[in-house]
Amino acid sequence: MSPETLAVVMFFTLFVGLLLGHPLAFTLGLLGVVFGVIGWGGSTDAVLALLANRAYGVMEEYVLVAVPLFIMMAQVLDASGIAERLFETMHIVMGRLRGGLGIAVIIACTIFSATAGVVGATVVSIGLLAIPALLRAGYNIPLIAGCITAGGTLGILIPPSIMLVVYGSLSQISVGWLYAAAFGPGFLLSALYIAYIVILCLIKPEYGPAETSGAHSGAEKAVMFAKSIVPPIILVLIVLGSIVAGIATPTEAAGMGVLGAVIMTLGYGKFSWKMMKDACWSTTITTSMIMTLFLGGNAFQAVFMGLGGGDAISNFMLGTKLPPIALLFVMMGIVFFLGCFLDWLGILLIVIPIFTPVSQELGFNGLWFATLICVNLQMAFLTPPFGYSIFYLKGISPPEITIYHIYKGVVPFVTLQWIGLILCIFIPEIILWAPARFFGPSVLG
Amino acid sequence: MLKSFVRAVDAFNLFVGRVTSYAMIPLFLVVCYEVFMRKLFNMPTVWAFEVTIYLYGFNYMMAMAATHCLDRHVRIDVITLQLPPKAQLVLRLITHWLVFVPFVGALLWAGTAYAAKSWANWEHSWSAWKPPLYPYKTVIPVSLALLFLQGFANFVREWYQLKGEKI
Repeated sequence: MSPETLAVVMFFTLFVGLLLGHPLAFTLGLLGVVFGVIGWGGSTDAVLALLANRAYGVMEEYVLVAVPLFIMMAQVLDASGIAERLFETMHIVMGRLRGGLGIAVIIACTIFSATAGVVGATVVSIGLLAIPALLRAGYNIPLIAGCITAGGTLGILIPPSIMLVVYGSLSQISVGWLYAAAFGPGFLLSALYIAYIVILCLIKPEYGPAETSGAHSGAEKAVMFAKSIVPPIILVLIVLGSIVAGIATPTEAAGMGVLGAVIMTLGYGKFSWKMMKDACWSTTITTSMIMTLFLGGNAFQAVFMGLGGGDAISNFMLGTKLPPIALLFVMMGIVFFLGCFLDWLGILLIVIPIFTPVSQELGFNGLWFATLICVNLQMAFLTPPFGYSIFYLKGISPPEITIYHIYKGVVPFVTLQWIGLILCIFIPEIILWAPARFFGPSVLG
Repeated sequence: MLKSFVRAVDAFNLFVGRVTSYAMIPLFLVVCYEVFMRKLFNMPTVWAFEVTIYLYGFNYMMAMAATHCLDRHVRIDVITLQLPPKAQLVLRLITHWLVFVPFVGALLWAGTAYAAKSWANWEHSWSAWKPPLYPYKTVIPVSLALLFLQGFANFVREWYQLKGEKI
């Protein structure tokens, strides 16, 4: 069997392996070991040395230190109650509009996303408050589920996102560039969600009735607004500003972000040692889960690429002689399909080394292509049967919200994400405007 | 006997995970300290960069076993969840020997050789600070050994579950 054939067999074995339901990290890793031993003519030593080297490589990658730090920042901010404050404020400001509570969810999620690099914290903390409020106001249940999951998922796209840190470490693209590039699409999606809710509630007022109770004066609203929004915005400006301005590395900015978040909990009177210990614990378990997947995924990837699997796939794709735009849609379709079954990290580990050379051959801008993949991967959180945001929401929902309500609710939002993705494909400035502005024309090269 | 072994492994690995999770606090403090020293006082330290790396690697590696104990490693179980509970358990028992043991075993073997080589060469970092690398590389076999042990404990637990006994 030629190495390329072996690589193709390896890829299909992966799908069988996935169905067994064993932790992904170990399944990927084992396939790496087995196919490595076969592919390199039974030389176990070489494969084992490669494994150990790769494992240590992850342990000494400075950029990846930003991953636990950004997770920790989100955990501490979550404990500070800022997400709840944001939602409560938006609730009072927007509640008396038709569909206003749905818009409040999206705006609160968007702002919280700019301080948190993960999805779980956003969906859970905003969902816990928003679900009862929206149910009480009589909102359509699938709409509730859709706006919380879609809004919360913005956390993985809008910087500081851990997905972009991982992307930066797997490709050779600067994390600062990726952060600058992800703002446009993130805010575009947020705007699309809001527009959808407004239009839907104009056509079908019973989907998002306006609240009649709880009038507040304009001055009261202004004070609440300032108190809940100003501190997180300052934190965002410091953390992201220092990265984009090139003053700090993502790791340094993330460390300062944790410090800033701790100071915020002190300011809101929510600081305690128990809170810190809990934040350490959940950060560590989440990081460990991500990094173990890295360990296994790296083994798979190293062997798959070593056998020439990446070349085989890219030669096949380029050999079809399809126009570049069609191949781009094929790649986006593959990422979307994988997103139904795999989580974002598994997809990134498999897809980046295969698609990056293809995109270079086709003459695409590397930063633009990377950002498209990340916009696309948001859908992996929402697409059934395997989607984290769905699981998070189900975990905190009262029994009247069933899994079918959630499935039904995500459909319009996944459609909006496709629309956003297509807009980013045909109007590259959405992605490239901000990085070109901050880093100069070199990003367009 | 076996049951108390499983309980002991669970408790031990969760304890190790707890303790190593506190590495997050010095981790962010060291990062901030270095930022202040360099940007404000223009006095960068020689050690902060490597200490940051060590705390980060130590933190997640040593917690792999605790994560496995809590069953938090991502699995794609949408399909297997459709099976009857007994079949799910049997599948878990099989995949433990088919997937977990060979991979984690191979990595443990490789990691031990890797760390041993570092000890044998008395390996130090190339930086100005030149800390020894062998203690950090030893984290690989130690954490994998704990993970391997936890995998076995999970296997025994599921074996008892199949027989209808709880641990």
